[in-house]
Formats: sequence, C-alpha cells, structure tokens
Amino acid sequence: MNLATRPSSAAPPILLVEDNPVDIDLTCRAFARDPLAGPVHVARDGETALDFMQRWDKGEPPPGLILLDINLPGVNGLEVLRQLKRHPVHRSIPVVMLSSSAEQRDLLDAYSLGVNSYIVKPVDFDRFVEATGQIGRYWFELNQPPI
Amino acid sequence: MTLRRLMSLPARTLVPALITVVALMMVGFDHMLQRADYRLRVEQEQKQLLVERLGIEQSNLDQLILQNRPLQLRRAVAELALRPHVTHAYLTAPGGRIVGSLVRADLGQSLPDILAADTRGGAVLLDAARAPDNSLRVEVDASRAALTGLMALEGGHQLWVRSDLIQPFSERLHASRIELSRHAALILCWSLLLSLFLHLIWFRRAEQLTNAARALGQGRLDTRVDLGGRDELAEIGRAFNDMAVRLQAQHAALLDSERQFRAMFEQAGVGVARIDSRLGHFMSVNKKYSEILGYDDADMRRLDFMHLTHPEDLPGQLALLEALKRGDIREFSIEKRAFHKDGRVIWVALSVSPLWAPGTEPDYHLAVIQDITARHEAEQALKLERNRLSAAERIAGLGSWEFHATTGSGWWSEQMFAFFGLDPAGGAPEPEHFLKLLHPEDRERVAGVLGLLAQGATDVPLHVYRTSPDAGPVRHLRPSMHCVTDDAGKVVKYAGTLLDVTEVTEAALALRGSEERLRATLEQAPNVAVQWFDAAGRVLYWNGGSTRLYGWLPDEAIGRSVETLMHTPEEADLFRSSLVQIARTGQSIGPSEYLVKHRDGSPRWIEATLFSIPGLDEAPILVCMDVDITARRNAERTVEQERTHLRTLFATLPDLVWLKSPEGVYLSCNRQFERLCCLTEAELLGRTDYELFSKEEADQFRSHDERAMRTGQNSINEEWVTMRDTGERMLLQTIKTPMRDAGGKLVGVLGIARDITEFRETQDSLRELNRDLEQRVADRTQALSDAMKELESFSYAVSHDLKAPLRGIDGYSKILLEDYGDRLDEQGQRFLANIRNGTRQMHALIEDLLAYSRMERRSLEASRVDLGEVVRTVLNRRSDEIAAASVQIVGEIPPIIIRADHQGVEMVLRNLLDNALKFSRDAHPPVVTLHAAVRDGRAHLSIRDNGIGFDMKYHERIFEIFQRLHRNEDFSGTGVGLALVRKAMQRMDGRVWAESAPGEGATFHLEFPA
Repeated sequence: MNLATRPSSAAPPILLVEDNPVDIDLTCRAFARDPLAGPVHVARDGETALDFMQRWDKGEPPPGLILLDINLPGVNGLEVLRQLKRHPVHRSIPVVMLSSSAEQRDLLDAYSLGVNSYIVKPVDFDRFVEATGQIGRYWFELNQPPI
Repeated sequence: MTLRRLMSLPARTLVPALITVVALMMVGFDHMLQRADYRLRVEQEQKQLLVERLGIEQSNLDQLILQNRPLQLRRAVAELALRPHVTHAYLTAPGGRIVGSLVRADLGQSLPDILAADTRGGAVLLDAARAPDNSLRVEVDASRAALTGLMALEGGHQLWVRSDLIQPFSERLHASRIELSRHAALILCWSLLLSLFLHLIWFRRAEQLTNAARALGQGRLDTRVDLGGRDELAEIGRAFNDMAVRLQAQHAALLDSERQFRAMFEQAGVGVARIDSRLGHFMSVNKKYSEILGYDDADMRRLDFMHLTHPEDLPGQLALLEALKRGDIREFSIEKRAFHKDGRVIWVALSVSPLWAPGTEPDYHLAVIQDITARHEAEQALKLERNRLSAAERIAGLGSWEFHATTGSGWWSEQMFAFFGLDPAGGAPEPEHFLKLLHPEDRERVAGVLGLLAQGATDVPLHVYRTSPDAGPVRHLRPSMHCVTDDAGKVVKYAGTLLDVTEVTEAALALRGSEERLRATLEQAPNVAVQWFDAAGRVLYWNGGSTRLYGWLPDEAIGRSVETLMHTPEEADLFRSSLVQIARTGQSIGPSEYLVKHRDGSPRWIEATLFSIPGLDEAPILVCMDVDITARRNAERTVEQERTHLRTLFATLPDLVWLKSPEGVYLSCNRQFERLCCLTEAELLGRTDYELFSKEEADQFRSHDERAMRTGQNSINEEWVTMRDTGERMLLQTIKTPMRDAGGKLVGVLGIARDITEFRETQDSLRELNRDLEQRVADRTQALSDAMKELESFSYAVSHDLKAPLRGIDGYSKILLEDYGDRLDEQGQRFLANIRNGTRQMHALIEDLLAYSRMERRSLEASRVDLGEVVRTVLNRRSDEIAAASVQIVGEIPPIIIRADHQGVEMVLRNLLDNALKFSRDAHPPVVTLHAAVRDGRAHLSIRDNGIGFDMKYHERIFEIFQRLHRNEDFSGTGVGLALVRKAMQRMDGRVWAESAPGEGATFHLEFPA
C-alpha cells in the first residue's frame, strides 16, 4: 500500500494512557491538528489500559500505537508495558513512552521491558505539537507494522 | 575326543572311510527328501484314478436308474470292488436307503446306520463333501488315510465311495527302500576299489619314504629311496636323496677335522684340558697336562681342579670362573700353585676360555697350563735379594741411582721413589719431571747439574737439595756420584746415591729460627710494651709496643731516662725506686699501675711488671713489661658514672621498681616501692612476696615472674595489690623483665609498676562515652540516609509532577493566543507571551535543578577520558550557535588522557562553553580561547572569553547555586550552571576557579587529577 495515499479515515486508533487531564487534553488537541492521525482513545489509569487489552482479545480492533505515561495511579506505566510486551499478539503494537521524567532509571527500566521509543514530554506547547506530529508521521507513515 | 581319535587313524583308512560315509549320507538324505514327496504323489494318482473310474460309471449308472433295472444297478456298484483300494461303495436312493453296495447285507439298510456301525473307516463318508447335482466330488479325508467320493445320480440317487490311501503309500515306500539298498551296496563297492587304488599309488610309497627318513635319523647316512613316478611324492623322495648325500659328505669332513684336532690336542707343548664348568671335573686332558701334574689319564678323569689347586689360590680362580660364566669377561690367565701327584707344589700359568656359545648355559671350559715353577723360584730369589737391599737403603735413608748419559735413561732404587713420593711402578722419572719434584728454589741449580750430566761431564758440583713441599714434608738430600767410563775415557753411565740429611739440616735451622722468633715476638707483641733499663734508669731496649704506647721511636727512646716517660716527678721517683729494688733483690714487682706520659704530653695509665734478667756483663738488665690500661680505667669510670645515674633514676622514678632473685627474694627496690610496702630497702632485702602481701596476691606475682623467666621476654600484667598501711586496693600495670648477667645467666626478675587505678576508671568511662557516641553516629547516619532517600524521591517528583502543570499553562496560553487571539487586545497578547516566557524559565530552572541534584546523587565512573576529544565533541554540538554568533574559537587541545567521569567532564565543558558564548555575545568579534597542558601530573584546561567579565569580589558567589550577577533580561539563566560545574569538579577530585575583571573577559580554569 502506498503510505502517502492512505486515507486518514483508515488510520488505526491511538491509545493514550495518561492520568493528567491537562496532558490528555493537550495531547488530544495536538493529534487533532495532525490530519494523518486516527482517533485517540484514552485510558485514565493502568487498570483501564489492561482492560483495553482484554477488549482487543474479544475482537475490538487494537490500536496502531500506544502512548504510555509512567506515573499512573494504581498500576504504573512500566507494569502496563511489562504485561503488554508479554502478550503473544499485542506485543507487536508499538509503545511510545511519553513521560515528563528524563531520569536514567526510568529510561533503563522502560528499554529493558522492550519499549519501542521514549520521548520526554516537552513543556513548551509548540514543541509538544511538533513532537506529536513527528510521532504520528513516524509510526503511521514511515514505520511498517506486521499485518 | 572321538574326532581326535578319528584324526589319528592312518590316511589309507581314513580317506576311503570318509568318502564312503559322505556318499551314504547323501543317498540317505535324498531318500528322506523324496519320502515327503511320495505321499502327495500317491494321493494325486489315486484321486485321478478314482475320478476317471467314477466318471465312467456315472453315465452307466444314470442309464440303469432311468431304465429302472435294480439288479444291474446293484451289480454295477458291486463291480466297483474290483477297482484296487476301494473299500466302501454305496448307492443310495432318495431317502438314504441303500440300493447298491459292495456288501450285500447292506442293501435296504439306511446309510447313516451302516456307516455308524462300520469299523473300517467308513464313517468318513458321513463327513464327505456334498456335491451339487450331477456332479462328482472326490476329496482326501482329514486324516489323509482315504479318499472319499460322492456322486449325484439321476432321480436323486447318490453314489458314496471310499478308497484307501495307506496301502498304495506303503507300496511306494517299499519300492523306494529297495532302491536305497541297491545304491548303498554300489557305493561300498566303489569305496573298496578307491582304497585299493590309493594304497597302490600313494600310501605304499609314503611308507617307504617314512622308513628311509627314520633310518637316516638313526645314523645310516647311506640310506637312499626310490619311489618312481613323477608326482609330488617322487619330488620329495629326490630331495631326500640329495639331503642324505650332503649330510654324508659333511659328516666325513667333520670326522677328518676332529681327527686332526685330536692329534693337535694330544701333541701340544702345553697342557690342555676340557673341564666341566659346573663340577670342575676333568672331561678330557692331553698327555702334557697329565705329565705336568704327574697323574695318568685315568686318574685325571676321577679328579677335579679344585683338589689340585693350592687353597690360597683357589678362591681367586673360582671368582674369575664365576665372572666368566656370567659373561663379565671373555677369558682369563693367572699364575697359581698346583699340587703334583708326589705332593710337591708346582707353579703353573693357567689360561681359561669358555667352550659355550655366548648367551647359552655354561657347560665346559678349556684350561691351558704351563709349568712355570723354575721361573717362579728364580723370580722369588731375586725379589728376596732386592727386598734386603731396599730394607738396608730404607734404614740408612740412602737411595741409589744410575743415569745413562748416552740414552738419557735412568734407574732408581726403591728408596729413591720413597724420597719423592713416587710409585716405583712408574720407573725413574724423566729429567723434566724430576725437576718438578724438587723445591722450587733448588730447581735451577739441579737443572744445571743435570745439564752437565747429559753432556757427559766428569767433574760435577754437588750440593744438598730439597724435595718439593707439595709432596709431603720437605727432605734434604745430599747427593754423591761416580762415573763409569769406557776404555776411551768417555762416560758411559753415572751411578750414585742420595743421603737423607733432613734431620741434621732442620736441627740447625730450628736453632737459628727460634732466636729470631723470640726477638720478633718481643718486637711485634701488639699490646705489650717491653723496655730494658739499666740501674740508672736509662732505656737500653725499646720494642714496637713501647713505641705505640709512648709515641717515641726506638732510636729516640734509647738513652732517655725515666723522668721523660713518667707523668709527674713523683711517679718517676716511685718507678725509679722500684727499679732500684729489683736490681738489689732480684725479685719481680707488680703488676702495679703507673701514670706515664705520652710523647704528646697526654697522660696514660699503664700496668707494669718489673723484673731483672742477667746481662752480658755484671750489671743486670731491668725489664719493664707494661700494658696500656687507660681505656680500661676510663671505661671503669664511665661505668661508675652510669651506675650513679641509674641509681638516681631508680630512686626518683615515679614508677615502682624492684629486683627479685630467680627464687623470688628481693634484691633491691626504689623509694616508691618502699612506700608501697612501708619498709625501707634494707628491711626489704631478703624477704619474699609471701611476707609482704596476701597469699593470693603473692601467688599471682610469682606466676608472672616465672612466666617472664620461662619465656625470656617481658611479661606485662595488671595486678591488684593491697597497700599495707591503708589497706586500700590499687591496680598496677607491671612489666616483668628477666635479668641476665654478661654470660647470659639468669640473675633475677626486674619489676616496674605503675598505678593505673585512676587511668582504668577514666578508660572505662571513656569507653562508655564512645559506645554512646557510636550509637548516635549510627542514628545520624540512618537519618541522613533516610533524608537522602527522601530527597531522591522529591527530585523524582519534581522532574515529573512539576513539569505537568507548566505544560498545561504553556499549552493553554498558546491555544488561547491562537484560537482567541482576535478577541484579545495587544496588552492581553503581551500578557500571554509573558506567561509563556515565565513557564519556559521555570522549566529551565527545574531542568538545571534536576541536573544539580543528579550530579550530587549519581555515582561517578572513573574511566580513561581524552580531554581533547571531549572538547571537540562539545564544540561540534554548539557549532550552529558558534557559527550564528560568528564566534572565533582559538587554540587546539592536545590529546590529554585523564581518569574521570566522561559525562561529568562533558557537562562541565558544555556549561563553561555556553557561559563563554553567552557573556561574549556583545564583543566584536567574540573570541573564545582554549588552552590545555599537564602540570605536575595534573591536567589543566582553561577557557577564556572576551565578554563582559565580572568583579573578582564575586568570585565565590558565581559558583553558588541560584546566584546570578545579571538581570534575566540582560543574560538569561538559572544560576545553576556554575554551581553544577563546581559540584562535578569536586566530585571528580578536581578544581575550578575563575579570573576576571569587569569588561575584560573571564578565564575559567579546570584542574583534573592525572
């Protein structure tokens, strides 16, 4: 399929796992400005994110990309990542850590659990919009997922 | 077993027997195979016959049934009995009634009844297979003993037939057996014929060959064999004949040779015997051997060589014989004594060589003897004569010799060899060798004499000469000589003697040496000064020792008077009076001490003994032997002083000091100890611990003393002691040391003690305090580590949670600007821009703060870091900014390797470079100068800019966190960068400092450990 001509309506959804309502709103707004990105589903905590996995098992279409925050109430982002990457099917869904933390410890933990990318959330909104745009372009245009 | 017995049969029997057995076995086997086949063939033959017969009968019977002619029908059935082996035949009408049979009585009966009663095997018909209509079926019954036939006929009639199989089979078997017997008989005949044939052409001739070989083996060498024919046996026969011819010829040659050797053996000029090596018996001897020993041949054969050998020579010979048997030697020759038959002892020369081949068991050896009695006796006489002469020479210490001037050879008597320690077997030595045997000082002189002798001189000077000291004690030898001349007066040879004059010469030398030695002793005695005085006190003799003591040389001293030698006139008078006294009485004085004077005027103490010896004339010589005792007297004085010092120390020492004998008796103590036991030293002496202290305490003291004495080392103890006056208890730290005299003998135990009662109390309270302190330190450490952990989680929270609201503020400001910008006036828009600037600054502050706290918490890894490379990396990262601001970077950094944390170094350089770029942005053009070098093993790096600089009074402040010198509008920043640099440098054991002045740029210096 020619990536450049893929219609936006066919873009798979994005799952955003994030607890901060401001960040959720900003992220959704940023993706809304990107014409190529699909709809954004939101899980407000780790438990909900894991519930999503069960729903995909039952036949709901899985997302094309998961944006995961580390600091979540209850089950934290690293635990969600661990379970996701242990799943026989959904492990191939690309997961991008989108966190405020640039701590070396968090980076090492995330990469050792098999995260596909780790992006420190820019505080500057312009750069944040730019970052989401790049995430969308990279994962939906350049990257070739297994079918 | 049977097989072995079979194999031992002769071939002439075995071969035909084997052929016969094999043929018979083959025939028998063939019969066995065929027999199995017969049964099948018989069954098929009979079945065929029965089917054919019944087929013929079928149409006949059908016709008869249709014509309803019962009689003919009955006859036709009965005629079936004519067919061989048919035992039963029944024709049944529908309903099973028999209408035809071989037995008439069966007619009209029911077939099943008849068959049930039948005893000849008719019952099988009941089981016969039923055939379909108008058909015939013949089968072999289950027991294979008979054939059953059942045929369906017209009108429902059935014909039942049974035919026997056993009889035809027996007939066929019988015929086969007859054939087998015939074959066997034929084979036996053939075997007989074959045996006969083999016997005639093979075995008979083989026996001839065997007999001939046996005869040859028994020694009939003329045996020959004629086998005729051309086969292998004939070939063997011819080879046998050739062998016999060759053997006969060899045997004849051997006989001839043996005869010749025997003749040689018998007529040889020496005695030859062959002797049994194990028992020593003579096996054969020749005539000469018998002659030498006086026995005849028969006697010799009864004797062995051990009997004939002298008992003293026997062990030697036996030992050699053993060596010969072992193969150590190939042969031997000895001279030995043997007994003649008439009892005489004769000398024989014996040579023995083995007769066995090397490596085989020894059996016989050959002994060759020669009578050498006469020669031996002559030699003995000569030897006796020579011994007498040698003895005489030895006693006289006289050696004799001859020297042939013409040939240069010589002869020496035994004593000559003894003089020079040579082995007579070596013969008289050559002149060169002879010279080496002489004393090195005498060699040249004797060499001259030998030269004259070699020229044939008649008049030769002779002197006593000595042997070399290398070959034992030196001998003095006096030579004498006379010449033997020929008719022409020419010297033919010299003969002479050497007389040992060692004793005489040495006695003379000894006397002379003794006197010299005495004088030398006197002269060279190192510590003893000896002077001779006359009665007036003037020096007559002055030895080397005196020179050393007084400083005067002998020439200077002789003639001086006593006054110059003594330190004071009083001493001189005293010494002189002593001299007068010994001169008068002749008795020695001393040893006594005098104070004398050295040549340089210094005083010396001497210990002198004075005595007189007779002089050459009437006046006696007064001898003074004196020793310098100045050093000794000084040492004594020093010791005395030291003793006084020690005493004082002993008395005034604040510690308790005492000395006990090995048995524990007090020998000495100081004042402090006196105070302890309330006794004076004089009262204490002779007492023991048991009289001063309680038994427990005294026991303890003694055990410590004994330990020190036993181990020979200091014993340090703590002892509780009770004061005698107050009864107060006191803790003493005591050091017990074994004391030894100069010879190493144990003389006592020295005790030193100090009151440590108070010290111990202080120590205990200190220890208590210490424990308390340690606990507090542990508590603090715990609190600190808790605080660190808290700080860490705080930093984490800051990094994550503080940034989220910032992002919100910035994001919504931006959205507000974009989405509602048209509804805001200019001021509102500026406010929003200010909000966004504030968040940006806040964000930078958080990031720097995080970096600072991370630098504090992070564990650094020291690795090899190339400073030059790091600088280049940092410059590359900022290349855009550098290019944009047209900054000139001056200076190259050489590759300098340091050990530091790579990230830390990079962070430091990045911050300093950013600072330099930031503060020099207004310069025209901005210049950043880099420089690096290694000084005193530490790497030094400086970064200089030509920016605004700062006042050095702020030098410390710029490195503190959040401290800034400029407004944010002028130069943005968080005030963390330089604090971060200092923190990183401190953690890497390095240093950072700056030099600057306002408006003159700034230089930042970094120093890294090597």
